[in-house]
Amino acid sequence: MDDELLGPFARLLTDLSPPATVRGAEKDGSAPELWAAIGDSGFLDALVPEDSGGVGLLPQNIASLVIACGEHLVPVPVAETIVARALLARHGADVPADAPILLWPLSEDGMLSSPVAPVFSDGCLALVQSGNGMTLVEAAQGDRDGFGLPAALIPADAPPLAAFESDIDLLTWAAAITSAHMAGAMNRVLAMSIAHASERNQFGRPLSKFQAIQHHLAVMAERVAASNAAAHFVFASERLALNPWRAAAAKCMVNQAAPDCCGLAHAVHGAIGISEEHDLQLHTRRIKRWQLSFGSEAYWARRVAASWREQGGGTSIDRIRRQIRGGSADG
Amino acid sequence: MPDAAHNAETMTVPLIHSFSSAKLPQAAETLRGEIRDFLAERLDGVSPRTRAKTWSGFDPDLSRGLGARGWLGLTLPREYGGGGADAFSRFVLMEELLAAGAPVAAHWIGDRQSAPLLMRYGTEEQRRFYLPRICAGEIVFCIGMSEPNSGSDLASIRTRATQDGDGWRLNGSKIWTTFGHKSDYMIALVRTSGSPDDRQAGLSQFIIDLKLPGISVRPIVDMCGDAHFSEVFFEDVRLPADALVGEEGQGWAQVNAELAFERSGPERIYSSMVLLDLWASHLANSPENPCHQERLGKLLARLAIAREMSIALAAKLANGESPVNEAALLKDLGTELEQAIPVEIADAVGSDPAPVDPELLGTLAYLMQISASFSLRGGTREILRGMIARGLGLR
Repeated sequence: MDDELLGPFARLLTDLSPPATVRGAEKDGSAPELWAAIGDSGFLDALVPEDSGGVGLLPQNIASLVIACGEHLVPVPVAETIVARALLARHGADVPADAPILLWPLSEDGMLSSPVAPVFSDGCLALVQSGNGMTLVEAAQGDRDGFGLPAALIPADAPPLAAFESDIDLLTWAAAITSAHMAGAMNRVLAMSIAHASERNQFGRPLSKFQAIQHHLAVMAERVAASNAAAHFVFASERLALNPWRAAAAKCMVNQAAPDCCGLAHAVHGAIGISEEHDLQLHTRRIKRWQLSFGSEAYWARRVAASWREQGGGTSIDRIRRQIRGGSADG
Repeated sequence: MPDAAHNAETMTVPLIHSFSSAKLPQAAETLRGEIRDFLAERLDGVSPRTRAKTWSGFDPDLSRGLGARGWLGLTLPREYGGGGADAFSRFVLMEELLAAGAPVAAHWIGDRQSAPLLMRYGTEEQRRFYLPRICAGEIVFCIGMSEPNSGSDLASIRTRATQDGDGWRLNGSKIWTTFGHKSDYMIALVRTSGSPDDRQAGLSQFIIDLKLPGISVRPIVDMCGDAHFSEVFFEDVRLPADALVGEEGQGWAQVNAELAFERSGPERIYSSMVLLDLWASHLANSPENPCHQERLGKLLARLAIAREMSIALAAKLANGESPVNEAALLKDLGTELEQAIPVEIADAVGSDPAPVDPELLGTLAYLMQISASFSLRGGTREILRGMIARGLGLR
């Protein structure tokens, strides 16, 4: 993403998505001031072509924006709405003026392709995909889930607000967005851990001066750097259809990295990190929920490994090079 | 709210943002085809068990063949025999060599460390004498860093060169010297003034012709039965004045720059590729086993992202930057992956009591043992994590 676009967006999130707002939205899914400001900013039409009234960006331009949403735990579905609006615009469907839109890919048996549902956001719709069929419906607030978040649900009698056919795979998009959100939240977890280690004294010196703590933070930095690389890797597309193998590899890798990052962050913070009032748990709790969202590492690993059962031969490197070509900026 | 969390609001960690996507240019991809053709011919019929050695495979003929095609010293200027190519082309060359399991030891150190060091710190005379021969694959280099009582703590070395007329007189020994017993030259870090108590001060680098009188070399056999490293003894070795590399007393800074060359390539993610590919091709020809597929997929996903990070580093090198801490980060991540590959494959292979292809078993056994060295050579995991911590502002 161009820095001149990310800068204002990041400032907007810093101002309007502080931890207090994130905490408030965890209770009932509402963050009206934040959502209104994001709508006014025009970012929601980032992927809508310019001749359809949008900003005309490509997926490769918005990776940093989606990562920033994860950094700030933005409690409204910004990236998901950006993708849904681009799809609606492409297929000439009416784009609802200002509703948040969740991505709701169904598996072959008609269930959501994720054991945890997207988090409810006040007034949100859901773009439901079954095969190539897309339907826009109103979502409802379900029970608070095991992570303390209000899960969304689709009422059985929800009337379609729009319907169209598209071969763009929403599960691929949902996995990509989740990976980038996780990378962003991990950025903040690392920064918080470095800050805590630098300020907290034990045995007469800052924690950050202990080699054991330095090595914890170094290992965290590796996980976080790799996760950010994965987020950019999956968004590196010039087309609205993301490369599904890249998405599979990204979510598989980020999911492998996340437990180390969270575990070490809590080790560095000690008991205060798991207290309700501390912001660390706000981030790690969300990362753990994202691990379950839209495919675990094993789920995506099977997709990644399928490249070895396809025609074409060659080494692992050859297969990776072949897989990452389609639909990507690498042409 | 705790202060730490609040401060984190404005905090950024630049080190982790250094790996966003870069793309290999077409010129590098064109080179890939030529390298593959060369390797396909040269490595035809070589068993995976042998190819798995890559770093430890010593084949001067192959190295001369690479040199004849202009692929050694690929990024050095043409006037010194180099290829004048960029870091992306070098990435592709290294990727293809290691994926194929080419025996690279006869040129590896000269190409990766000695030549860049001489290019940066050598005199014009030294460059003209050594670089074209390194680029041709004609001379083999080793590195004299560790000593019997100095491993990672390089500043404590005791091998000493004292002024002797125009030149120097060298006494001491080096150990764990990769292919010291098959090398023509060593670039060694030695003490030229002060004592080990002076630490980094008083160290200098020399280029030592290993045929000089007073030098003896003893190969050391490793746990796999191979002798790829050695101990080198110096007893009153007379070195000419022009054996000094760079400035007297600046050895510490120079050696750190040299190690940065060692770490900044893509080489540090690919040491187990021959085993991974051999196992994956066995899986592909067997009935599908979901557990094995998951293991393979997890490794491939890590590999794909490590490769992206490596290309991002190549982009920084091509841009004239020297991403020292980023390279340390990727190397630690990469060697962890290199070491995870034999662990995962051993678990998969051992999960079924059925007989295993002997070639796969032999390759696996080799990597299960030698992989311990991946996080030792060129700077240990603990040293690297210290560098990353410095990059994070903790030191």
